[in-house]
Amino acid sequence: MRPFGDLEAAIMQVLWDRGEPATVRDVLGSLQTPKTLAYTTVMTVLDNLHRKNEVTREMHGRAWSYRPLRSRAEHSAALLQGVLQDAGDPGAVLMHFVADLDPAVVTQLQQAVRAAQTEKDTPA
Amino acid sequence: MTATWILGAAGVALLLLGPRLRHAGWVERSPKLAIGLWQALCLSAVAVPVLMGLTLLVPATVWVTDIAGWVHACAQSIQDAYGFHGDSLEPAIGLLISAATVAWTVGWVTVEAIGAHRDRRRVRDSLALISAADPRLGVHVVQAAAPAAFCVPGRSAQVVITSGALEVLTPAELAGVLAHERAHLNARHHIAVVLSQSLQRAFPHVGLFATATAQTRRLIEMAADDSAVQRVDRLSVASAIVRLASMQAPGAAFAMAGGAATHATTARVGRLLAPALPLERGRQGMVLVGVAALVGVPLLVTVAPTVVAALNHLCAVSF
Repeated sequence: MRPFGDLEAAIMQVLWDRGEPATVRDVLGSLQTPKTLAYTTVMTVLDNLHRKNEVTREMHGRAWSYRPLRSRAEHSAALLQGVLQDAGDPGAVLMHFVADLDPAVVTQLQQAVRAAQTEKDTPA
Repeated sequence: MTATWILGAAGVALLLLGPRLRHAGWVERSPKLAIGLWQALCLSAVAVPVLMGLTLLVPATVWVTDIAGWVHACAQSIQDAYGFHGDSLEPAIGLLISAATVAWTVGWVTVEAIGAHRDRRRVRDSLALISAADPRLGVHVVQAAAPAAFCVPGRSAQVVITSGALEVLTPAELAGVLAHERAHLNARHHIAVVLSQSLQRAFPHVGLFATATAQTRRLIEMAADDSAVQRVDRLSVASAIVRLASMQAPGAAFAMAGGAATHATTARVGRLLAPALPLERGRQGMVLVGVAALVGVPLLVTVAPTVVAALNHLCAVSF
């Protein structure tokens, strides 16, 4: 999964912030960019996002209304997973607090920690 | 030639005995010292062939006259001390061994370091798009339900945690996780990993380097836990490990390195719940002497013939 380009990211932020379908004109009105963008530029980017399956659109009256397909959290979770998957060598590139574990072992460790906590809370 | 043979024997001993350090019980009591010892073993294993080459090469070169001048001996006696007989093959072999070892090692370390640097920058760039800095905690937060915490070392190092992890951790557990990750960054643990891993890639058939890499990865986690327990109680660090582990779905990483990772994490939790005292002062000193010896002894053996020639002041003039 590829991260968004700058303009794509800015437009997705507008769509996520609104929480309701937006037309090209709506997006153009809410976009905070250093210089004013052309209507056609925003239209092209939204069209690309639609092609990439990031937004869905419906015809309202005479204009398309765009809505994100995934929530912001779902999107960043998917990106994070991608980042972690191809991060490269563990230890050299990033260091996890915990590695992925065998679920059976996790249960054993949970019991050990709980036992230690109980022991600490009720001193003999 | 004596120096060359002694170095050769030392090198063989290093490669055969070095990996057995992983069976030593004390390493988990003082993981920081153990990391240092593994690094010294790796360094020594590379230095020995380079020095062996030099003992063959130097007596034959014009440098021997310079060296003789410095130590007030004469070139001939230094050459005799190294057992040099004017053979033309030995210096060529020496040059080949030294130069090839240095070039191959430096080349691989450079390639690995650049690769890791590039990978880290790519990860940081991707993270920049999905995370926001939390100045209060001093971390970058990714809005994602799956709990995860990790750090990206390097020049603009950062600690990253997901909003899912922030929700499930108690304040003490969170403090433990952050202290653990900051310990990795402050101690530059990634450099130890990159170095031993470069040697593993450069010399894939040398078991010492593979063992050193695996052990270093395991020990840096324990060293970071030791730093974390100076901030919060041991139990909170242990419960943070177990809480985050229990909420992770076993993914692709588990299938690849599951066995070793599971074993390492079990050992981490075990030593947090039932702590053993760090190594006694005296034995810590012994390990430090070992580190110094691993680096120093090969150097001493290399220069010993020169020193002997200088002490004797003899000029064995032969006609």
